[in-house]
Amino acid sequence: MKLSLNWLSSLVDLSGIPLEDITSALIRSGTEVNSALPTCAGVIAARITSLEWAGSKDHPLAVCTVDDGSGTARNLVSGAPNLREGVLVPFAPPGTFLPIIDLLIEPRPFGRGKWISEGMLCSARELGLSGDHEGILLLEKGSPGQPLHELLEQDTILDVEITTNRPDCLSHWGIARELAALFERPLHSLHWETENGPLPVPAGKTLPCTVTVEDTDGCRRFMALAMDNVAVGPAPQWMQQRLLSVGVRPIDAIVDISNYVAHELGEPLHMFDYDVVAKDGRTPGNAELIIRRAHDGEALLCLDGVERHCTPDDIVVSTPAAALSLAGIMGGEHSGISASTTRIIIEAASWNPRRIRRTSRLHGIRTDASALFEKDLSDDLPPPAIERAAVLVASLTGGTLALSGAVDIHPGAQAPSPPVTVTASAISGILGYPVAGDSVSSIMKRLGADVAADGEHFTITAPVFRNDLVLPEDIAEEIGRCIGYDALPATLPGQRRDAPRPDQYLIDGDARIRDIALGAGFTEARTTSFVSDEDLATALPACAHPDGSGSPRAVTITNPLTDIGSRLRTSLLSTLLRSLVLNVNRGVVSPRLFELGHVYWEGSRTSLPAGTMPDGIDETRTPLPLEPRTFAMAAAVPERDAEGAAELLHLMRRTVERIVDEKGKCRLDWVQPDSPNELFHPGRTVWAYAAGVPAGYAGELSKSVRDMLDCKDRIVVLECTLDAVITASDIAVAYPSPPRFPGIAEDLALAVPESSTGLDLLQEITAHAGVLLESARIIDMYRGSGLPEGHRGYTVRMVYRSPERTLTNEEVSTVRTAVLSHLETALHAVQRS
Amino acid sequence: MGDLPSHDAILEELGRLVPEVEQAIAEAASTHDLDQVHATYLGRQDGAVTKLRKSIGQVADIPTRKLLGQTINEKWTLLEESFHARTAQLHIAEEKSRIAGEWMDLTIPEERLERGTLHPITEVLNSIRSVFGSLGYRFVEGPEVEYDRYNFTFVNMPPDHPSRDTQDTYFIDEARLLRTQTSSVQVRAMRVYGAPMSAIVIGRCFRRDNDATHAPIFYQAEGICIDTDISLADLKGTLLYFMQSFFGTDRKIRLRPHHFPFTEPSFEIDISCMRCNGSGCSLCRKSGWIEVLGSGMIHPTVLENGGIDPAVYRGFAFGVGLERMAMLKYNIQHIRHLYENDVRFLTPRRDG
Repeated sequence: MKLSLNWLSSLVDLSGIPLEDITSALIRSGTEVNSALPTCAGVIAARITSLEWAGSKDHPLAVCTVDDGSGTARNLVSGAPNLREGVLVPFAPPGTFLPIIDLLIEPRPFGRGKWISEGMLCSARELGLSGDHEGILLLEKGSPGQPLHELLEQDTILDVEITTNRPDCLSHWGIARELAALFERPLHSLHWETENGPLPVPAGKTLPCTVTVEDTDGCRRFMALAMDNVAVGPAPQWMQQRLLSVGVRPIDAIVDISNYVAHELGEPLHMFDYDVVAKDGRTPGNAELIIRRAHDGEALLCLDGVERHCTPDDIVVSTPAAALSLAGIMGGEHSGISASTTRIIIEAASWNPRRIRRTSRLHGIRTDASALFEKDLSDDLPPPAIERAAVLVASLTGGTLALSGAVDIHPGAQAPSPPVTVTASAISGILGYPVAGDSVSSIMKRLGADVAADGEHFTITAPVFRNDLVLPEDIAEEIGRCIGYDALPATLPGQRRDAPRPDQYLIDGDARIRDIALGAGFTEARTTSFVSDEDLATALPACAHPDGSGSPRAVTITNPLTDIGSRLRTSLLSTLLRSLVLNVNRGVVSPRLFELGHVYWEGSRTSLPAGTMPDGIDETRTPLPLEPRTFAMAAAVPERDAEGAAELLHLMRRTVERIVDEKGKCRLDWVQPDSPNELFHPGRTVWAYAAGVPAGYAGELSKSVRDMLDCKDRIVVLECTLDAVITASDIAVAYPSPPRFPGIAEDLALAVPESSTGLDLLQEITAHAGVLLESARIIDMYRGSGLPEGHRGYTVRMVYRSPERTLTNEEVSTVRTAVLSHLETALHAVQRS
Repeated sequence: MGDLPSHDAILEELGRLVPEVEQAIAEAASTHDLDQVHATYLGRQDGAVTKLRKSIGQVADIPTRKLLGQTINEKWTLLEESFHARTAQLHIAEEKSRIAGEWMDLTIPEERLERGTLHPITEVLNSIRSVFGSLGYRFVEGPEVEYDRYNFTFVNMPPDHPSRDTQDTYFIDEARLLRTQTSSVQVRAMRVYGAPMSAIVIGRCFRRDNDATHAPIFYQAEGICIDTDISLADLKGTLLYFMQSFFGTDRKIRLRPHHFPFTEPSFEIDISCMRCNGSGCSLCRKSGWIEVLGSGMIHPTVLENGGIDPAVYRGFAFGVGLERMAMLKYNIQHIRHLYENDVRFLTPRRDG
């Protein structure tokens, strides 16, 4: 909202207060000031020293040089027709900001770059001085280089933001009232007179006007005042200037007056042509206004030329014959003021904000009036507003009162806020700062409240326009903001009595998991939750079986944004792969990414996150989806580097195994799927199971998926659902004593039929070797010559050890023989020489 | 069978051999050559001088034999000394040349130890955890797909509340939505832990917005602290500690009164600009202050919804966007970078 400082000064005495103090006081009391800019700051007087006309006949351009007092001639170009050599004009050099038209002046080319204008010559309108935009303002006095504010009256434009709880501040009056309270300055009274005193009440001829409020839910108060002898013409300069300064274009005196009152008092008015209304009256010559719900489908041609079809939720101001206006939002095309209007009805009303908001949203109309009315304006605004308007109409257009006072129907009186009882100590407790009773009383009185003191207790009745003051906390806020929060000490809460159990705040979160992934050279990504159906097709949830069964349903958004997908991811890979491919396509060589985050599985939640509780009602009716914590890795290598892809796959599995070693509640078993998933390279895919349940997978993506992703590089991925594998709490750790006796290590080279995998081999060895075998691991897998047909070569490193003695070769030999003979029987695996 | 070696013949041979050996020792170019020379002349079995010495045994006259032995041993000792001296000399030279051959150019800048980096949001998240961990806050979580009630109604934004309009919300069905704020966890936490309580929630939120300053997903941290004696001064002190921990101890904070439905009174918290230190620059739009947080005293209605008696307990709450924290702290130019995951962006530089 824009405010004119001159205008504010006409409502509250601000003399002697520097601008910085005003803005700072407003900011610190809750009115954000985005900017406070003088209208002419930086603008100087300049004399045109030479001028040549160029451009076309329709668009003449004055190409001039000016003397701006600097001694260097400036080149300027202007389209204004009234320039001539020798005149003194306002000149805005580059870098000047003109708040009235929101424009930062920069050097600007004209005539396709033929000329460069080093700044701008200003019209009266561009400086907020009048509506005159016909030509450049010609200055009558002054000398080149002189600042314009020395030559003309300057205004300062404040751009402020009002929070939704303070509709009473949405006007010059509202802010003036704040300033009066903050600086303890006198405020203009809410009563206006003409230069010749109060408006005379006419004798004799009246313009009859009756009002019926049928929709008492929609209309809380309706005032109407008829005026005669109105001569519609332009508003005077001072009013145009003020409207311009707050960004309103002057039109004619009547429209300008309603805009003026709206900006001054925050009450939007509406003006009807009396004769148009009276024509439709049931009694000829009697203007009859009915405030009612619109009929279903009722058509109304609005001022913007659009015909709207109303619903009974909309409020209309109507004659007995037809609706005249969409109440509180926009007038009708037919009942508005025209150049020939001589008799008017001024409407000032108070509307149900929720109804205004709904109508505004339903019809997609947002006007200055609707923006105000949907914020719950005070019922006390219409009387001063209608009086202010009447005085202005009389002063500026010669209008006279046609009735002895306004019609005032007040069916739904706004309930005043009940009084709030507080003590100074309660307020001190909330603020954490000692506040004296006197301060409470004097601040609240300054803010317009009634304060009754009874011992320690203050009973505070808020003014009608402050229906936001209902709780002791609200009073504390008023006291705090008027004293200023800079005075508040900064303390930490005292001895905490809610010390959580250590495991509720010492848990490292997922820091360790991330650390392990970082150590493997993977960079952390965070990707969006939104995916499209196509994305869902390029990734499997970690809980799915290799054949794709067991995949959960995706959560669907009913109102997605068009470009980001309407589903929530069921797998981290669907979004992580997008980021990986983005890196590849941008030329990053061999990117490696990991992500740790939530996926969303529609279905019954079996557990809620820590610190949440089931919701008795909705848990059974509409359960929340599962949000399993999931870990995924993805990396790319160039197509030719099959070996590199294989090594990455090992690295990823080593990484996740490391995580499970440190944080796991169970082991991961890696099983080759019977039916390969088409997502993967058929020879490079493996499924991870945790206690028999699918918990993830690793593999190299198939060529067809890479084509779908538009990626030439090989892509290797791993995804694992952590909830199935990782414990929430820390795992007990013990440091063992080192073994006392030496171990014996030897490598067994075995030829194993292709029907068995490395996992089969190790399981058979460990199950049958007995206690002397400390560990067995496969250190090499070999395919090729020297092996029987249909066999693979595995080298297994066996380590034997006894905790009680140094083993002899004979003991080891016994174990080895037993193992080899078992392998031959169980797997048809034989030792190679 | 020749003659028995004569005294003279042995001396003559010795006189011939000694200079030959000395020359060979002097001319040996490497310790390896020198060892060859040693073997040739002084070798235990077949060395020429060794053989000569052995031949003394065939001299009949014992005093002569003894004298010859002495002479040869003296020469022998001298030759061994030359040999050792030359060995040492060559060894030094060879060691020098070996070391010279092992020269490394350690001025060439190194490739870095391969290690990934954390996402900047995680860096911020970790900082917040450590700050509030040190203040004894408990960490709680809540669902991202949330009931309308927890996200809005329970935090004092009933249906039809105008503030709902300003939070562009993704809906799933009548009851469920994607949470627009971590405030959704406030009432859940209150119902589980009751009062007194201090807790912090950090998590992913969603707004139906995708432009230069908004991403459809974003992260928020929400803190609440409830007890019988919590005051605004405690809020101010806590946030000052938080902001100074994160942005440096030079930062000042300002409570700017504002309005939120779930707190009363409500504030936006500004920190003094870290670039210009409050004197005004383009980052703070010449105001000297940068808005970072929303906060206030928890609205009594919200406490009631959480099953906590507002006549007994008071509390403060605050919420902060992690993207904004990250962008301010790490000088990130565009919010878009955060969720594209370009590795070149995610690998931070440390300048100066």
